[in-house]
Amino acid sequence: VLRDLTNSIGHWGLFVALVCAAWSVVAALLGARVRGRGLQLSAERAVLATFGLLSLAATCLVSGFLADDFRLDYVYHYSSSSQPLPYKIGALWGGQAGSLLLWVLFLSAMSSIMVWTNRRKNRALMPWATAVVGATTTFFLVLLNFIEPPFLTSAMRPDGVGLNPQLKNYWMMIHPPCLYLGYVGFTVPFAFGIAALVTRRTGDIWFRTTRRWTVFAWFFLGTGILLGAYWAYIELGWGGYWAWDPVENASLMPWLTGTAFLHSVMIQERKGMLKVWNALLVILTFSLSIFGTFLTRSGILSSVHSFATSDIGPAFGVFLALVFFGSLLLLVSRLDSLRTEHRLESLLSRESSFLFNNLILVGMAITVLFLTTFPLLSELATGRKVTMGPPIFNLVNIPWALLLLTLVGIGPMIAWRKASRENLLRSFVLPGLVGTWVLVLLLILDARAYVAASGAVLTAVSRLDVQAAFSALKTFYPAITFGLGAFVLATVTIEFWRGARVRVLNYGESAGMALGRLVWRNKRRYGGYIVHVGIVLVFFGVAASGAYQIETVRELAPGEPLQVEDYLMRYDGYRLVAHDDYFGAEATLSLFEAATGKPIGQIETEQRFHPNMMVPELREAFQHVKALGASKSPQYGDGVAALYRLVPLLERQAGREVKTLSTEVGIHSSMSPLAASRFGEDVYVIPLAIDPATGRANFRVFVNPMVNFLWLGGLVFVLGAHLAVLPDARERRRLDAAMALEERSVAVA
Amino acid sequence: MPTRQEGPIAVDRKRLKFLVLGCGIVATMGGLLIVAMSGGATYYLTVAEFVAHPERSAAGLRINGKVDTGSIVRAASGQDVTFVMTDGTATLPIRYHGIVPDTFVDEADVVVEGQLAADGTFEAHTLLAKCPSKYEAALEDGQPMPDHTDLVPRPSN
Repeated sequence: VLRDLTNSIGHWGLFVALVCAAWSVVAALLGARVRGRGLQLSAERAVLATFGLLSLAATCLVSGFLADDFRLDYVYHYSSSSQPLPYKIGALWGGQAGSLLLWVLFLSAMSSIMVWTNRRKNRALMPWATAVVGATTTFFLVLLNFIEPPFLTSAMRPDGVGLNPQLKNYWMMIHPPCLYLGYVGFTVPFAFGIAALVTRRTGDIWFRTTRRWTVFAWFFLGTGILLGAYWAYIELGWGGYWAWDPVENASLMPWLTGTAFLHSVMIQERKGMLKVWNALLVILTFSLSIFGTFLTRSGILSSVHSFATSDIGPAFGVFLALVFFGSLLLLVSRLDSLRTEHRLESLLSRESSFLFNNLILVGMAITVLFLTTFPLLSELATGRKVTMGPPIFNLVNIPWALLLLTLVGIGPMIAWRKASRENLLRSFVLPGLVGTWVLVLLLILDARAYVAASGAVLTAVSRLDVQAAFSALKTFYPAITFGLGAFVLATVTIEFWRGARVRVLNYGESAGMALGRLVWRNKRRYGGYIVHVGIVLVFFGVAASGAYQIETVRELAPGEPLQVEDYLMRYDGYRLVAHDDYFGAEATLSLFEAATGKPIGQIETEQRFHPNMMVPELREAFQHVKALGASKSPQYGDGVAALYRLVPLLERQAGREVKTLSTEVGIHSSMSPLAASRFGEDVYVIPLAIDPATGRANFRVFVNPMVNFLWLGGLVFVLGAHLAVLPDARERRRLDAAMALEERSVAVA
Repeated sequence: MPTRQEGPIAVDRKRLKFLVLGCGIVATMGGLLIVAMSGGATYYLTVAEFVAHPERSAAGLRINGKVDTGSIVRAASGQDVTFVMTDGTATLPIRYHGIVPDTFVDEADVVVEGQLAADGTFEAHTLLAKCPSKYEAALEDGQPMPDHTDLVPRPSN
C-alpha cells in the first residue's frame, strides 16, 4: 500500500510539476509586459515549486529501485534484486524515462539557482530568461507525463531484468549525470542570450552574468566526454577510447561550440565586437545540446525508420526546430541592435587569432554534425544505409585540431589590435625554437620511417590523390603534435615565469608565493592557461596511443610466458568465481621487464557470464553456487564449473542464449617517473576465452604508449576549470559597475 | 572609431583579407570533407538485398541485420563464432573469426564485412554489434525494444 502511494505521488508529482512549469512561462511572459513584481514573483516561485516536485518524483522512483518494486516497469527493466546498491540507484538513468527525469531535474535545479541568485539583479532580463528555462522544462515534462511516463506499473514480477552488464561500472554511473549537467547547463546562458535579444540589451551583461554558468556547463560536458572515453577504455575491451560513435559525437559538438563561445565572448567583453557571432554561438550550443539529447534518446541512431515509430523522436524534432529557427529569427530581427563597436585591424592580433580559433571550432562541430547525420539523411533520401567510419572523421578533423593547437599557443600571447614586431619576437621566438627543436629531434630519431612517408606523400601529391596524401601524412601527426605541444607549453611557462618575476621584483615575494598569488589574483586567466596545459596533455595521449599502439592475441596455458615489446608476461593461473550477478574465471598474469627479468607488477583480468535470472533452473543453480562461495565450501570451484556446463544445455532447451558476456579488462599502468621511457604507458589485457577445466586462455594484449597522458590531461583540465570558475572579487566589481551603468542608461532612456 | 580615418578603401582591403582567409578555411574544410567522404563511405545492404544479389559483395559493402535468436555457436577459442543473420525476410549464415564484442548477443543489431564462401556461408572479417537495449529504439507498435533477456518464457505467476 505504501509502495502504491509512493508511485502515485511520483506520478502526480510529475503532473503538478508540469502545471507549475507551464505557469512559470505564462506568468513570466505576462510579468515582462506588466509593471510591478507580482507576476514575476509568481513565475519564479513556480520555478522553485517545479524543482521541489521533481525532486519528490525522483525520490519516489529511487525508492522504487531500493524497495525492488518490480511492479514498476522501469524498475523491472533496469534493476534486479541481486543488483548491488550503487547500481540500483544508478539504474535511475539506465533507461529512457529515468534519463529524461534526471535531465529535467537538473534543469529545474539550475533554473532555481538562476532565479534565486538573480532575485534582485537583472530584473529587465529575468522575466524572459525565466520564460525560456520554463519553456524548456515544460517540454521535457510533457514528454515525461504523456509520452514516456516513468511510473507505469504492471503485475508484480519475481525479479527484474537488471542493468546491461556493460553499464555496471562506476564511471558509467557518473558519466551520464555529468553529460546531462553539461547539456542542461547551457540552457541558462542561452536563456539570458534570448532575453538580451528580446529586450535589445545586447551589451555584455548577459554573458558576463552567465559566464560562470557557461564555464560550469562546458566543464561538465568536457568531463563527461572524458569519463565516457575512460569508461569505453576500461570496460569495452577494444583497447581504445574514442570511436566517433554518434553518441560520443553528440556530446562533442556542443562542447566544441561552447569552447568557441567561451573564447569569443572575451572579444566582445574587451572590444564590443562579434556581437552577432556570440548570440549565434549560444543559440548553436544550446541547440546542439538539445540535439545531443535527441540523438541519444530518440532512437534515430539505429535507423530513421525506428525514429518515425519512436515515441519521443517527433516531439523532440519539433521542439528542436522551434528552438533553432525561432532563435535565429529573433536574432535576425535584432541585427540593428548588434552593431559592432570596432573592426578587426590586423591579421596578427589577438582578435583575429580568436576569430580563427572560433572558425575552426565551429567548422569542426559542423563537420562532425554533417558526418554524424549523413547516414540518416542518406537513408531518408535514397533508402540506402551508409556508414561514416572513424577514418573519415580522423582525416577531416586531425589537421584542423593541429591548427587549433597552434592557435592555443598563439592566442593568449599575441597583442590586441595589432601585434608589433617586438611583441611577436618577445612572445614567440623562444617557444618557436623549443617546438621546432622537439619536432626535428623526433623526426631524426625515426628518420627512416619519415623519409619513406615523405616519399609516399610526394607520390600521392604528384598523382593528385589527396586522400592518399593525407593518409601518408598520418605518419607525421605524432611528431607534429609533440612539436606544437612543446610550443604551447613553452608559451604558458614563459607567461607564468614573467608574471611571477614581476611580483618577485616589485613586491619582494618568494618565487613560490609570487606564483601562487599571481594565479590566485588572476584566476580566470591562469585557470585558462592551466586548461590549455591539460588540453596539450590530452593531445599527447591521443597522438601517441593512437599511432603507436601494439596488439597481440595469443593462447596460453597456465605458467606459460609471452613476450610483448619489452615486456615479459607470465600467465600465472586462474580461479573460478561466482559473485553478485555473474560467474566466471579470473586470470592472474605477472609482468616483467624482458631485458632484466625484473618484476613490474600483476594484472588481473576476468571473463564473466551473467546468467539470465528469468530461467528458473539457472537462477536456482546460480544462487546455490553463490551460497557455496559464501560458506567457503570446497565444492565452490566445481559448482562454478557445473554452471559453465549447465548454460549450453539450457540454451539448447530454450533455443537462445541464456547468458550475456562481459570482460573485466586488466590494466597495468606505468606511472613511475623512474621508468621514464614507459611513463604513462599501459599494458592492457583481456581474456577472449578461459577454459574452466584446464585454464587454457586466449588473451588479447595491447601496449598503449602514453595513454595516461589523456587522463592526466583530464585532471589538469578539471583543476584549471575549477580555478577559472571560482569567485573573483575584481571581476565581480567590474560586473556590478557595468550593471549599474546599464540600469542608469535604461532609466534615462 | 579609428578605422574610419583610414578611409573606405583601406577598410575594404582589410575586410577583404579576412574574408579571403575565412572563406579559405571554410572551403578547405569542405574540400577535405568531400575528399574524405568520397573514399571512405561504405553502403550497407540488408540481408535480403545481399541474398538477392550476392555478386554485389564487392569491397566497401557491409551487410546489416539482426542475430537470429538461438543461432549463436561460440567456439572454445572465444574468437570463432557462427550465427545466422536475419532482417525478418531473409537469412544468411555467417562464420566469423576475430574479436567477438560483448554486445554480440541474441537479437543484437550486427554489421558484417567479408565475402561469400563456396559453401554458401558468409565469411566475415569484421563484426560490429550494437546491443538492442543501448539506444532505446522502439518497435513498430510503440512498445519499447525488449531487453535481450526479455524473450525467454517468463515464470507464469
